[in-house]
Amino acid sequence: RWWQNRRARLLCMLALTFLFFVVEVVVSRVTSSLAMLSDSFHMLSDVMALVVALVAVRFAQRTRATKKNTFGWVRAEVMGALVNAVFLTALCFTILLEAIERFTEPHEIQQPLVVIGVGVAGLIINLLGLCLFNHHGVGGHGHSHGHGHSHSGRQHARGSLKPEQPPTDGEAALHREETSTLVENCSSSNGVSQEKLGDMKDDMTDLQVNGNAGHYPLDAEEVEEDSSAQLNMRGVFLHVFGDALGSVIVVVNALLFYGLWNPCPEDGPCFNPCVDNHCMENATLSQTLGRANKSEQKSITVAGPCWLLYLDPVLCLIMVCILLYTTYPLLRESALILLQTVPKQIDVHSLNSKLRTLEGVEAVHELHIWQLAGSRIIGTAHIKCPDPSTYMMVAKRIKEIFHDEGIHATTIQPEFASVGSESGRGKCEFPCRTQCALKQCCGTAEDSTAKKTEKSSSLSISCSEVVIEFPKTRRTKSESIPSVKLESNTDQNEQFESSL
Amino acid sequence: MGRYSGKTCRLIFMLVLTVGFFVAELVSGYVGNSIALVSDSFNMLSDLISLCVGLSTGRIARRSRRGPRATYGYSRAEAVGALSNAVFLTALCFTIFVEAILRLARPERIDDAQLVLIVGTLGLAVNLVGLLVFQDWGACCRRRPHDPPPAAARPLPGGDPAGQADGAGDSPNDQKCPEEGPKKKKEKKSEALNIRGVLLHVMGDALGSVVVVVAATIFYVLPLGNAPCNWQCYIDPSLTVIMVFIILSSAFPLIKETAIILLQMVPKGVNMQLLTDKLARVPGVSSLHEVHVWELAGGKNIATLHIKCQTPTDYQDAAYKIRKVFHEAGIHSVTIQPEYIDHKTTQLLCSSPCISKACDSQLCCSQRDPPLAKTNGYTEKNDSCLPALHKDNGSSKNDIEIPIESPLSEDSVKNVKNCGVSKQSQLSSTRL
Repeated sequence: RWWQNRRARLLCMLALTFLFFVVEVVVSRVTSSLAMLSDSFHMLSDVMALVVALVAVRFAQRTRATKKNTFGWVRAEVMGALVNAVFLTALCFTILLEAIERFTEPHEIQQPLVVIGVGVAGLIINLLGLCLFNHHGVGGHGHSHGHGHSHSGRQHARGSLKPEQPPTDGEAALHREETSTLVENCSSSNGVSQEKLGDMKDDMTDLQVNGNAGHYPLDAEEVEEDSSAQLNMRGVFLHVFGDALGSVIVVVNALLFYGLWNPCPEDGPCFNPCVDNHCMENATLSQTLGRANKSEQKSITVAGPCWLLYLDPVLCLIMVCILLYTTYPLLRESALILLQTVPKQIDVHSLNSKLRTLEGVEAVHELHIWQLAGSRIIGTAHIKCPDPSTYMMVAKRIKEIFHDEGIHATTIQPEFASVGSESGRGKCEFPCRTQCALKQCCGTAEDSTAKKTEKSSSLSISCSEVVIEFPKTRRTKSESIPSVKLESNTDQNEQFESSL
Repeated sequence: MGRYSGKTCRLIFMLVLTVGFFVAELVSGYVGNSIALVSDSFNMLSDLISLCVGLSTGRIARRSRRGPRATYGYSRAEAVGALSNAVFLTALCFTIFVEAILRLARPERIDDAQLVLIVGTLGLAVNLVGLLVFQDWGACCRRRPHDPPPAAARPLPGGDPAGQADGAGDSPNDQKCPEEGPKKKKEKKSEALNIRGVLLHVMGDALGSVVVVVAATIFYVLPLGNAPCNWQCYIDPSLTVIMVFIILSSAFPLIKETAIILLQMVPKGVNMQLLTDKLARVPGVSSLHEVHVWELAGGKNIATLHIKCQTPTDYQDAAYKIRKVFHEAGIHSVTIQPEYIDHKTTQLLCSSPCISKACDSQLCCSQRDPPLAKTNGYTEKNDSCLPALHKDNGSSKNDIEIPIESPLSEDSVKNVKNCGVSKQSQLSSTRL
């Protein structure tokens, strides 16, 4: 079904919202209502959020490595989610400011009927959007059938036996034309690589191996709505949700206004107690008092009730609170992924200890786990073994341990302690030079000249590295800096290294 | 380590200044009953928010101790902070743009030109001070004491061992890593990212103040009285639109730069083509694949790759040379995974991706498609070319191959289940 395709949903909503924006602008011109015009720009901000999400989805479909990005662009959706979340927070901030200003200077709503009409229409569109982007529903539908052709989420250069072939060609063409807003100078190279992809498709069909003759197993397609895609959709969902809340407020306010507000008639004396207008007050007061003296039967129209004017800002404040409360988790989650943190479900300590307790593993250092996007978790480690044959025996077990944790893309670097070196078992055998310390991802490579071994220079490039192990006891930062001492304290409890 | 580096010092100073001015404007706006002042004070508030974001991310990034929750520390916080600031600014520009358009549709006059002029000038002064403070790098306090430790550590051992160490390890390519220059530049780069985010906000505010001052001056000099709005009323909104475009044009480059870091792109200055060519020419390497190069933050580049070799000694010799190649390219944290050639898989495919084929979707780069040569994998030309096809790894999805040469597959079934289970648990837990 087409509506399960993320991009189709986004495009549909984009078209609807933009159309509605245009309609609102026209209506505001016709009725010359400024409030309508300003409300229409809320729709425009929605359009922008949708555009950001669309761009992210388009990017994220290129999962192949390119010259500019060796991981493919899968992270684009996480970044799109972050951008949307920050954008939404900023909009909340400006709504907050407007609400505060309204408190000090309340206005009445002109032409409440028109406002109600357009507000209801906007609300309907937003509710439609909510249904489209409801992330629970999305996940459920995604699992129900995993046919390749309904999801254009993955674009791989597969052999011609793929059922997805026609859309893929179309996609490739689209990608070639598309210019990225994020990274301009990239578009041509991506286009080139896509083209190469196209050429290579033909060459590669002979070389196709590994079960491309078959189809993707059905259950693998279930992960179509990867968690990074979910993040992206959540961002859009929150925007539409905020807009829906805004429409609700507009409609409620206009209804109440229409029902309860007692407007000042054009002619005749009117006393408006709500608007704090010093001169007018005195003038009308004196006038009305004067008139009242003349004839008590004439009633003075008093505009009111005043609390209606404060309803709008109050509701806006509540809406801002609700929005911020729901946006914060999205912000946090996408930021944590972008910060290269360890995914929640993985416990690095236990992983480390499992690795260390393997037979034949002397030490583990430079263990890094991070999440690329969605369920793709990447790990690297340096494993120190006595000799290559031991390594061959444990290599499989090591991969298994990682696999059990859910880390499937690993790079394990074996290091073999050189003959006769008593230096720290945890010392990295292949570090970079001393001066490069600050540029290593983690490592204040300090000179360990005291423990220079008699290794041939061909094996190590001069400096040594502090071991990154996760000890039971942590020493303070100040103790870890003088590294020369560190080498001599080689033992099980080497401390945390505080990086730069 | 000094608690207050140059960067934090500057930020805190600006913070105090901005808070003071914000409060003053707010109070005078309410006392003098001028909406313009109140709205201008809210501009200061957005400045404040961006400063707070800049400060806090700077703190987080600096404190980046590696821990069980973040194996690389939090040094990326600055990039994320800069991105947030840039997006925040874009959103504010959007709302300002909307208001300007509304003003163009229905122009209004500035009522109390004198008051607005005075406060606008004061605001401009504050913003200019801010700009100056950030531009002048060495103005406030000492620079971050990064340089001392390595410099101190070097002379410490002194004498022979140091000579040996340098002699042994250093090669003619020592100039690639000179002490002071690039280090400072790299630091500046990451600091720059964070500060640029804040600087953008301050600049936006300054431009806004300029527009306010210009418009108020015009109204002050040519007062409108009670006449209907003439061209004077259009000055403010049109200048505002121009200002929005200026700000946006400087925000986008910042967004692009943070995108390079956050999207794990190949850092600027690293040419993947050249790099893989050089790597492929290292003797002992039959082929390489899964080459990944990315930037952590502030000039720290990280690379991982898998190489195929014939024997373990090949690997050890090649490893050093590979590191040298990377070092010359400016990448200093490299993890190399050796794989020994088994004639079951092609040269370009990984021999040990994961232990079960079902995990393919969770690999960073799918193994079903042969990697793009020249960006992610490379086979040496003199090798007898890609061995003939393997009917192997059968097309059946349940075929689990554990390609490392060791007896296997008793637990193959268990592994499939594990993959499925772990997939499930991840999916459920990464969803908040």
